[in-house]
Amino acid sequence: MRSRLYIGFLAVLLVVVVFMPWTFLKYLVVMAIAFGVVVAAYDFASVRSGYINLGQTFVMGVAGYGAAFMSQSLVYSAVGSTLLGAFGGLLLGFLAVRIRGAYYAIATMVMPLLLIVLARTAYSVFKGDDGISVWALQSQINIDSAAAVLIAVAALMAYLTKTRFGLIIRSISYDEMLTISSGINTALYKLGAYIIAGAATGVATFYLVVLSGIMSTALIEPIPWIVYMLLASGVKPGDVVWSFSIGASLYIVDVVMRASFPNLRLFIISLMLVVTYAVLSKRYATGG
Amino acid sequence: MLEILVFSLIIGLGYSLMASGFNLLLSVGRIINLAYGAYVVLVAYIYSTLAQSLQPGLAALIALAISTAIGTVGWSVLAALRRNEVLMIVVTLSIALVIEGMLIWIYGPYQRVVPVIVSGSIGWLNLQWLVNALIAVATYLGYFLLTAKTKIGKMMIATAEDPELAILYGMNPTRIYYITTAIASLFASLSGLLLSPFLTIYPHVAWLFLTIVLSVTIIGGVGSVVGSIVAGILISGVERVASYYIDPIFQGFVAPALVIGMLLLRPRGLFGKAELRWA
Repeated sequence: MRSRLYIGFLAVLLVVVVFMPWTFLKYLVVMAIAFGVVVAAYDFASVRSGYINLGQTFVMGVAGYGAAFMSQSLVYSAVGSTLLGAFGGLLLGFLAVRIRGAYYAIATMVMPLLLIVLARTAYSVFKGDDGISVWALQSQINIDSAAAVLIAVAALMAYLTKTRFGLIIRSISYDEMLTISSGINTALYKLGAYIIAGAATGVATFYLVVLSGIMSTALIEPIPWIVYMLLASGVKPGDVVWSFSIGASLYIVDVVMRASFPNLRLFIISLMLVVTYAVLSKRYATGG
Repeated sequence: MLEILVFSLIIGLGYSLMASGFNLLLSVGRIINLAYGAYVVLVAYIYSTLAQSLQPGLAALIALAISTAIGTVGWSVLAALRRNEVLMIVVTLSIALVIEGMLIWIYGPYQRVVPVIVSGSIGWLNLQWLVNALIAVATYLGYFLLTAKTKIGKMMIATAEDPELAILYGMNPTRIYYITTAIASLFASLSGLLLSPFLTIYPHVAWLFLTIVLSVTIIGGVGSVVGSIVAGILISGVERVASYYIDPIFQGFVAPALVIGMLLLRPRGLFGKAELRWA
């Protein structure tokens, strides 16, 4: 019943986007959906398996630069972004196999931060905070088809949570040792989940980059993106549907905050974060 | 060549001091302090504000006292969150945002000039470099004497090695934790004072400081102050040598390559011990 409701919600969302007459609002909603997919992917691999991952923007960065470097062709750019996203996910997954707990949080936090330092230092390659322009690709994108692809990816992530694969990922967060003693190779499942989540993040990042026309360090900054991911997944950890919906909403809230009260933005974000986790922290990484 | 090596050593010691405080908090106190970078920036702002109306040396001393007090009290409060890692990460991240937001609110998002504590030079040797080296060496000597010769220092090491066993031996982890926060705050405050005159300071640079802290901790190993010293000097040295002798572009590749290589090949770092909790 719940799955049908979600499919219905996504279908309605697609219809609303396609028939939306206001171009800017349509653009904003598609960008929000793309960020919602990133959050859903984050939730699927990390939160669902009980890992505190602070490095999802590293995957976005790797995928985003892939999309920008291959911007001569729309297809190459999309495929490159997806594959590099999967590669970024593989790196995080490999770390999830080898380390855990607070150290995993630290190890993943440093990765996007290092990528930002690299993008700024090697300016001639990455163009630092100014970013690499991909305006040429924007005119080739059909925004309705972008919405359809992103919504299909969101539906796929939700579907995967219902499969045996998704349930095993969930069981890792409950008790990894018990899962291993049941004869399941948790390392392979973790790697698989991170690769899938990385690929989904790659697809979403491709649209975030192409629709905004630029790939810069702004996309990799942990603040606010990681904070929004923690916020969105903190309400109902491990539930991809909630994470997608709240993640997309937070993207729109962020745009409003940047435009309306930029000086108060950091205070509001920090307050939202603490309140969310102070109220809901017991649910995190324990399967809700 | 000699100037480059000395300068990279000075910056490396600053990196080491910065990371040592974070490392101590993590290993002894089990605190993941993501507000650490923001705190170091706060120290630089306090010092530069005081230095506008006082002699730089006096301003540095007052800034050191104020910031160490703020850090000790503030980080001691975090002890309440030790049982919940997610909440601790979220709270420290929020504290970092509040500090950054506050600095932007008061000073704006612009670059700020932080004066040197001592000006002048002896030949090619900048006096501020000499002061940095002396302070860093004295601080580490003090720390190693504390841990090797005093009971409280040995209790700190024991708590970092095995907190459960330390409690069984009758040690009071809360008291040890408070002392650790004071030492960690001192490390962070000193690094802020000594490094900031050489770097571009603005509120958002907090995340660059956190990058350095995390990189040094990962390469050196959690729980090892010696590891932090070696890793800090190593990162600084390789960065500057790559920048000067190969191409400035390569400077940015050094830390990511070292950190990712270390995480993939030896996750516990150069001097860290494999812990069941984390690896």
